[in-house]
Amino acid sequence: MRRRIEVDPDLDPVVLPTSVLNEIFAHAREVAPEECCGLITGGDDARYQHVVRCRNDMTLWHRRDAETYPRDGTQGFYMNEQDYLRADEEALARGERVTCVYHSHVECGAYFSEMDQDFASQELFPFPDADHLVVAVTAGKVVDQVLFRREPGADRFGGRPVAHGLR
Amino acid sequence: MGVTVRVPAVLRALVGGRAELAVPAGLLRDVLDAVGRESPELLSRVLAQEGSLRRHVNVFVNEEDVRFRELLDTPVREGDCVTIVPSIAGGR
Repeated sequence: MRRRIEVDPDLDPVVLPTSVLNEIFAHAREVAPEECCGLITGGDDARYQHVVRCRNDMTLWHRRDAETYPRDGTQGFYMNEQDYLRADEEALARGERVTCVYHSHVECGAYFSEMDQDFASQELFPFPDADHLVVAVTAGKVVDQVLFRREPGADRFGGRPVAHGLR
Repeated sequence: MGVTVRVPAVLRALVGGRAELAVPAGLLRDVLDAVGRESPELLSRVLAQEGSLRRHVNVFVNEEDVRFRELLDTPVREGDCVTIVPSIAGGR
């Protein structure tokens, strides 16, 4: 049984470019009270370079089949497949790869939920080496952000503080 | 003409790097059987042991998710395109 993972203040912070964080924060604010989702792409020299917004289809699926998809977009995200496949292809064409999957939580904290871990740990998860950035939105403002990275040699994620940087 | 099975970049390592496979038309279960003959590894990631679609994998015939059609009994006709896509989701 998984439990939600919170930030571990003893872990080293991860530096993300301010421009990347600002783009993600803007996305999160714009779609609240729904959760936002998207990808960050980059390479070995600059891991977090480009933000690609993806559509959150969770409300769409919920309206179509509320039994299979009991949550709507205010409580979950379901990344539009065409959006993420296109982002992946375009990243590969630029010589980059998907390095981070991001999404927001609205009116709750920036933790890695049981559902987040369930999908991120599945055998076929398309980006197994990617980090996961969760931003918390409260009253229309981004109030927290935590980056979850698979711990080396362990089948678990650690929550790292996020710092703003130039690149 | 047959059916084109599109394999997203994230799964191509399971089919020798190919982006598409060409298989005969039929029901979706027949199409997946044919995929399994080319790549048992890929098929085992699409279907659970009891033979149903795995929870985190979506299969589209053209633009339609087969969960909203007839699942493995969805007809796949000559010229159709089948796409296998792992899902990315989560939430609070």
